[in-house]
Amino acid sequence: MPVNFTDLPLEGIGLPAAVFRWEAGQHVHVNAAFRTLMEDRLGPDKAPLFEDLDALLGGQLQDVNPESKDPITQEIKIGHKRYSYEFTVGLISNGETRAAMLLGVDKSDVLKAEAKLNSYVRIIEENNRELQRLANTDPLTETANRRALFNRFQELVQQVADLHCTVSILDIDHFKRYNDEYGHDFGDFVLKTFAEQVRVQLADKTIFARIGGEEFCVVDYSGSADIAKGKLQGALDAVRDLQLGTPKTESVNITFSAGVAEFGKDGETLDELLKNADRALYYAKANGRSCVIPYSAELFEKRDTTLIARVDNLKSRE
Amino acid sequence: MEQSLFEKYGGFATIHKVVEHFYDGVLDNDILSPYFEGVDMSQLIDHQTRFFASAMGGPASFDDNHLENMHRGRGITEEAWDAVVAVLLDTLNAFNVEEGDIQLIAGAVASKKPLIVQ
Repeated sequence: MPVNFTDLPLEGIGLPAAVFRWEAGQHVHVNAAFRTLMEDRLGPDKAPLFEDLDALLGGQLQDVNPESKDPITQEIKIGHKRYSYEFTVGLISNGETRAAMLLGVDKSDVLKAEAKLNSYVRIIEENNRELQRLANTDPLTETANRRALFNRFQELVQQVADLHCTVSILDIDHFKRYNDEYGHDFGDFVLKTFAEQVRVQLADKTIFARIGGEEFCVVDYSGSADIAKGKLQGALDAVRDLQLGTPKTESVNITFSAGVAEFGKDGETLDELLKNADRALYYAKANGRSCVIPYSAELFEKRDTTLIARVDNLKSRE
Repeated sequence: MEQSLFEKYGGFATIHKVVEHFYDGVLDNDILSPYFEGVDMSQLIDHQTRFFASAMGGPASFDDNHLENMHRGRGITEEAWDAVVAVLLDTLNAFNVEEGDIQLIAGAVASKKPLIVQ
């Protein structure tokens, strides 16, 4: 005699369990735990049908291959409480007909724990990224700091074959005077405004970093020294047009001087390039400031002692 | 450096249990439960985890725009706000958070009310 599926002792299983014929519309045998769990949807006196179960499982039953025992996850509300149940659908046979057996396991705690752990991972990752950003950023001007400049330059050299780039140093003219005359808060304001303006003008393909008090470095890898110099000149014009209100009644205009060194021609390492950009910068300072001067080996080979003396004098005063 | 409340009360190990309590508390509440119809469980857990980690000075940051976007258009009433605050206080008390610290957290939360209540 084949076993009658409805006689199966589901109550002993201890999990919400249901057996139903695989063909649609056949009666289903369920245990009390299953009935309690699904009470809202099944109704206490209603014999649940295949279609009901399918609706119950959000229409997912049709996609189930009972041989594979892929579980169906279903969110079930009992009162206000939400539960996540995982139903395993397994095939059983009495030799004549096939039936599918549903066994439900409460996975709510597992899924909640997973959600929390994923949340911690994301929070810690975001936090690490923020720490990384802070470690590489000048807090006042939000530009890169010296450390980030050296790292990013190194990456650039390693990643770009046949790199064409310029390394420039920009120094705000008479910065000390603003600090002395109007106080350090105004000095900070000058630095922030300068940095914002220059950043806008430089646009992409540049690294912009603060490397000293009022000294900034621009690495420009747009592709040509002429474009880079043009962008710096544009930044100088834009900065020159700014009217900065001081704590006193007057407003002031700021300018900067810049020295530009070319990768390959004027040096291979960032240290060499910064050194030569610095030389050109002081040449710019000695020649009236508010200008962009490219480094030229010939210029300094002339050993113009007068110029060197003036540059040294400026260095000690600036 | 001064220790944050997040560190003082045991970091994520405690947040884990606090969120459990708070999550059940809001879903079990007649006023609050309808607001969470259709909200994905993992999203809600993530939101609450960030909320507690941030309110207790931990590593998470809760951007005001994000907070406003999440609550805008949901018709959150004064009554719902009061109910959430009650669940929050109940949760913090359940984990023996000191009165002074509860005040600090409640103060931080209260400052966000205009972003949440319509």
